[in-house]
Amino acid sequence: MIIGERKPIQEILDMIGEHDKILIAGCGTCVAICMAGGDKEVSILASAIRMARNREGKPIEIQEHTPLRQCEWEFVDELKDKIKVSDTVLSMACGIGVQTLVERYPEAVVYPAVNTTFLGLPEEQGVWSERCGACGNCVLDKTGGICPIVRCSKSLLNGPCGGAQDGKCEIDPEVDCGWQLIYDRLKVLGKLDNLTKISPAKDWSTGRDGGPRKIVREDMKL
Amino acid sequence: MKRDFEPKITAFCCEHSGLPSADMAVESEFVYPEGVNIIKIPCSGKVEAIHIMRALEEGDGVAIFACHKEACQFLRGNLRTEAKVTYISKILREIGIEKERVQMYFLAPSNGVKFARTLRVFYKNLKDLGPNAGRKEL
Ligand code: SF4
Ligand code: SF4
Repeated sequence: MIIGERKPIQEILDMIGEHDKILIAGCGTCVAICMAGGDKEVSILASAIRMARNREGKPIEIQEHTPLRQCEWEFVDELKDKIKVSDTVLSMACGIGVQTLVERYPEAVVYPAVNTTFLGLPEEQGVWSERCGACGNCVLDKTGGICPIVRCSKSLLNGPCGGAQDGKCEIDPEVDCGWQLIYDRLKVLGKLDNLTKISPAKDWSTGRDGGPRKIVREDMKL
Repeated sequence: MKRDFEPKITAFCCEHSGLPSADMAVESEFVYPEGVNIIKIPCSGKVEAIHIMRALEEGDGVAIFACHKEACQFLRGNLRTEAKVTYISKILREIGIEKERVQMYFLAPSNGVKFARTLRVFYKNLKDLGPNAGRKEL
């Protein structure tokens, strides 16, 4: 899922500026699970903004609404009435949610209240870590199911580099060496010979280097 | 103005420590500030960040009375809420509201003396701080 983190409140207050009627729109899926932009976080941010504005002697009216998802037309349609009566919308979804609102409601001013950080999973309650860089050409079959793009700090496809020590990455002794993880996993799978095959230079045109990506399925179109 | 100011306090009381202590304070006539809004909770861990924020929006200070650290009936409820209070403190610092307005206290189930004294001190500290500038206009 998509992992995010609330922006500093001062940055959010600066975006709101002098507006005194806003909507905070959360998202009930990814960012709710990573506790950055679900209904609870929407309420906490609303409360913090109200107090900050009361302190400045500029009270603000805040509506809250958290659709199940903010990245699909059907779900954001339920925000319509609240958007209509708001000067500004603060989105607590990922950047996709923000842009969904912008495209669905071109007349609305929408600001991001969350920094979209990575694609990952909750390792345990309160701890999230990155697992996929959405490179568009998955190689997990060759690496024992461990992603070299994000688990290796240098995204090496023929790792490891010479900097790993005791299974840790040279960027930080707390960070596992991605290629050590790959080695250990391939060993368990009895596929260490995968490491003798050289991966050719990756075609990054399927990733961000190819510009904005799009998938079209004619068979699914209505 | 400041002299007449009566701080409005919400006290979340765990029913295994804070609440019996509050009852004892009343029964034993240990004086604590009038008008404290006592909210009974099954464990201090049940207090969520939003409860603290909302209580502060409506008042001047929030106190959470929890069991001693090794004595939580649900093992870690009090420690988890201590972490939530730290999180709230950061938010309050960001919005320029004194973090001293939210306090967590650990006490035994039968400590009416400590309950009353703690609230008297908290009340005085809030009185010195003055009204919560973030509070809703009444
Ligand atoms: S808007 Fe973003 S955070 Fe919400 S469900 Fe869609 S992808 Fe996940
Ligand atoms: S190889 Fe690419 S698609 Fe596969 S997990 Fe890594 S970044 Fe994601």
